Amino acid sequence: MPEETGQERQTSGLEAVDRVIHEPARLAIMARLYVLEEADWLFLHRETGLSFGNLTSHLARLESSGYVSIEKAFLNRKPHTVVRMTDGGRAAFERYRGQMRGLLDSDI
Amino acid sequence: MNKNEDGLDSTLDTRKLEHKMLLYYTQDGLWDICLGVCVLGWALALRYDFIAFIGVIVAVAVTLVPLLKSKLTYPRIGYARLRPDSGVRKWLAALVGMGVAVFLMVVSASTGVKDLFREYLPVLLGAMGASLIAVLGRAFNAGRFYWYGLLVFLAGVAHQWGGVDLWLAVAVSGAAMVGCGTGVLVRFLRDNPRLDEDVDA
Repeated sequence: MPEETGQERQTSGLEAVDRVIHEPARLAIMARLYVLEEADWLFLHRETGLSFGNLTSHLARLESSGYVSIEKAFLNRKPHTVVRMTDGGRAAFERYRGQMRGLLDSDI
Repeated sequence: MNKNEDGLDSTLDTRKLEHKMLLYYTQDGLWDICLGVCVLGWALALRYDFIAFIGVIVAVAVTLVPLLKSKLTYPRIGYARLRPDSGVRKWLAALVGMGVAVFLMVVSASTGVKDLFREYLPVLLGAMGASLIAVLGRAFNAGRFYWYGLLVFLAGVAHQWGGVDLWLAVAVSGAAMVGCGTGVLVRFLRDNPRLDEDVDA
């Protein structure tokens, strides 16, 4: 059996990576939510530097994947959105982190 | 793949990220003011020999901070809460542990050691207050708090060897904390305009 090249190993490693989390903007959101119990929309907007529209669409993508839960309410007659990472999201992020650490440590 | 080039490694370093998130709690200066007010309460309790005053002041200050945060901080930088299993809890547990250890040490000390405690009580109180504030600073990753701790320790030293009234020395350190916290708050309010969630997510 021919030996697997470094390039092939890299490709096969990356194929297994969760593409929903791997997108840089979503990774920034997930990494912050991982260390937090909950955060509101304004906090995430400031922390990630994403525009209002971008943040909305990425949060919607993460919510549809079951990685975050979004709670919308009104506070002083203004919209207030609180985002939490779900248990599934936490497990997915830990899995992703393990995979990426493995890839980074393999010096490919 | 170079870990430093793509920045992915730092994004995945959740401990570093948690450390950075801690700054969020103290960047508005409200906890500095709260701490300063509590120290001022301690000074007043010493001045008027009315120990319950500390409790009242601490209760009022600690109740006011979340209220002020919801009015001043959250509309500017948003709201976030750390996970219950974060490092902060461990440091706060260490704080309680320290308090219990000191209490047991004082209670179980021999007469000679108790006399020594009594003789150096102001400086020991200053050291205990300083340690408490330093642990708070470590828990919330706030370097300013180490300086506040030093101020409280110096208040004890000023009384022990400088002959300054203890209540006055403590009051000066408390006022310095309130002043510094107010400066931080003013800068925070100036640098962070209110940002409402215009477009609902």
